[in-house]
Amino acid sequence: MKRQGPVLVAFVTGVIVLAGYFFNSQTVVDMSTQIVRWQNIVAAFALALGGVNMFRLHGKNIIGRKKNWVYSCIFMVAFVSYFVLGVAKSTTSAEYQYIWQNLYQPAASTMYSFTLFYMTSACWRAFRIRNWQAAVLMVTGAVVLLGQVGIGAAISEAIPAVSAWIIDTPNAAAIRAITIGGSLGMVVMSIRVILGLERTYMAGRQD
Amino acid sequence: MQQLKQTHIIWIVLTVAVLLPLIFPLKLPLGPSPEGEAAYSFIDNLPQGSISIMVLETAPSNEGELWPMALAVARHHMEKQHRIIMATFVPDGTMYAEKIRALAESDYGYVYGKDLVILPYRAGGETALASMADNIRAAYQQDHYGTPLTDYPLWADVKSIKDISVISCYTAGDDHLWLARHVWAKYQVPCISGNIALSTPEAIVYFKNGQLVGLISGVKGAAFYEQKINMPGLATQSMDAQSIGHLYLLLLMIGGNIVYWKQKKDGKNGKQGAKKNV
Amino acid sequence: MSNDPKIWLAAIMSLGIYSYLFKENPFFRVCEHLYLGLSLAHLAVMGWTNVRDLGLTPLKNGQWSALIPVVLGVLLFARFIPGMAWLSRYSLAYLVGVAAAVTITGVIDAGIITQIRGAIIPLNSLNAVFTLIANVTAISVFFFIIGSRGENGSVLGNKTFQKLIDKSALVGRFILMVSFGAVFGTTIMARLGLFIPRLKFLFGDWIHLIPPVK
Repeated sequence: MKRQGPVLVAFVTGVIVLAGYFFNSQTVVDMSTQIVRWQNIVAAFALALGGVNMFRLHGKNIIGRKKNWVYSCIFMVAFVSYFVLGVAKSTTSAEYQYIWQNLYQPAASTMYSFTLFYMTSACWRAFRIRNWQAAVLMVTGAVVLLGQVGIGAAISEAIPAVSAWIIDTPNAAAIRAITIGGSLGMVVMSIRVILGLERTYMAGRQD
Repeated sequence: MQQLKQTHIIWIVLTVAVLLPLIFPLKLPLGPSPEGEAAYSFIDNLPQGSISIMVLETAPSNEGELWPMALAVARHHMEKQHRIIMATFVPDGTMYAEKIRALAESDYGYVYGKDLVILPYRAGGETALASMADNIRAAYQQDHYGTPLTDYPLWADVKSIKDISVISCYTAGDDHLWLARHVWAKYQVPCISGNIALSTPEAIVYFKNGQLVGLISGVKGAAFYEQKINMPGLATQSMDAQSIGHLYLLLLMIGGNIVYWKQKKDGKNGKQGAKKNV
Repeated sequence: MSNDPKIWLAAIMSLGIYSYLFKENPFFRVCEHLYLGLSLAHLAVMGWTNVRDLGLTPLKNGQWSALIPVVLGVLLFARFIPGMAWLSRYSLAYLVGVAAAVTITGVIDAGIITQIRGAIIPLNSLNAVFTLIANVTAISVFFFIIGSRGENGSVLGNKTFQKLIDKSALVGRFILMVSFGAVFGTTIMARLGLFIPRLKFLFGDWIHLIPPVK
């Protein structure tokens, strides 16, 4: 029940969806379409998992007056009030959009733009030419870096042309190889999941 | 502490270097983009009234690259009087769809339901997109506002995914792969990918294979598209700053390596000197 | 400078987050927790709208089949209940099973057949010959089975063939490095693409130093 049941669920759903693709029977196609559509609902539940987890974590912080519990209060107020607003007045309401536009959006964009700063530091400290592979990577990286923007063309007309050739030819060949290899791997892994040979998605829980 | 100060100097110079061309534009040339040109030509040649789907996978984490291109393509569709359906598989996508709706209604006189429809967000990523491709009418019964889609004249012309002239996505993820897998491979509906620059080396292969009819790649692709439709906007303004930013990071890499080789040489000399002294 | 309170609110949030670059401080932590709360609430709300429209509304209208995904969805939360966590495996198995099957239906054509077809091109130019060599050598990097060795260290299979594969893989590695270089270049472009709009907001919309665009 605890291990064989889930394996059976993965097998049955996987086989029906596959059958819907490979066989031309309307009943099977309808079943397959239905199962795939249900996945939207289950995945929607999964979206709340992170929120519930953080809610528990910060709730414990507040109740136990742990270190930095005041920040947990800020999280709680933001989480609960925005969730209630969204459910009660819908995401299309002016209030919901106001908060999204003026608090959430700027914070999220700024948070993600951090990566550039760390990448800049890495350019100075970490990217070292220690062997021929690193040299090839850096030279092609430099050409593509310049070739993608106007300054490359301003230095020499050849730079954007070489950059485009790198992306179109050797890069395309390498990506094609990776794609073929990766796709074969995905197919094999998917078959293993459906047949119940791959059960890592059940790991992490003893009971 | 010394390390920290050096890092801050590097960051401050980066900020100033990128900021200056935004204030004082250099007007550097943009260069060609054959894959962007292909996307533009394909959309440009669609007849008036064609129905297109724009999959807006845009979020604050990637809007710097994706929003300008989505806006440019949407404007192009509107200029050509195509009908637009907007779909999304990321939670933030509908926010951007509403911005496009506002633009369509104010600048192009589009009527919601007749010329444009926003489909609701669907969780599930690739599976949700596959579900849309396999049976769009079963996958969506209501629009983003909860109104039955059958109330709209535009929806009456959408019986299946094959009624769509082109599907374009604006993504920082794998949507271009999903389109190739579930829309192009199964139904041969033309697909265009607008993706972040980082995905270009991968997406270009799908363009070369013919799985995508066009590719708009990062800020450069967006700027190229803006210029094609004669509406220089957010991306065009960013290109000079991109240029200087790229140059600065390249100089940092070269400088870092010079320091590294010098230190390595000094280290070797130091060791040899020490041996001689012994 | 802008007089719009909305712009000021957004600017304060942006500056709060950026203040971390100097060092961790209370201003950052307030903005961080606010952002975290809003983003997770937004996810939960969007999830809720999907559950309501696709699960609960059909149930209310007597479509009992919608009970299956709703139950599976609820079971996901069993992982928070000690002793009942195993129940969430059913939901995960369902998600994984469907995703695996959907992957197979799409990947075989788009990821394997079309890629191989795309690699086969007429050899009518130097570039085409180079492309062929690049394709073959890059693929040979992933020939793990031919390159593997037996228990006594001997190469499995024909030695001459093995040497050929080794040489091909060396060239292939060069091709892969060129590709990774291209990825590196475009990564920097993508990261700058995230930073520049924030500068445009702070120095344009807020301080009005950067001229606005249409």
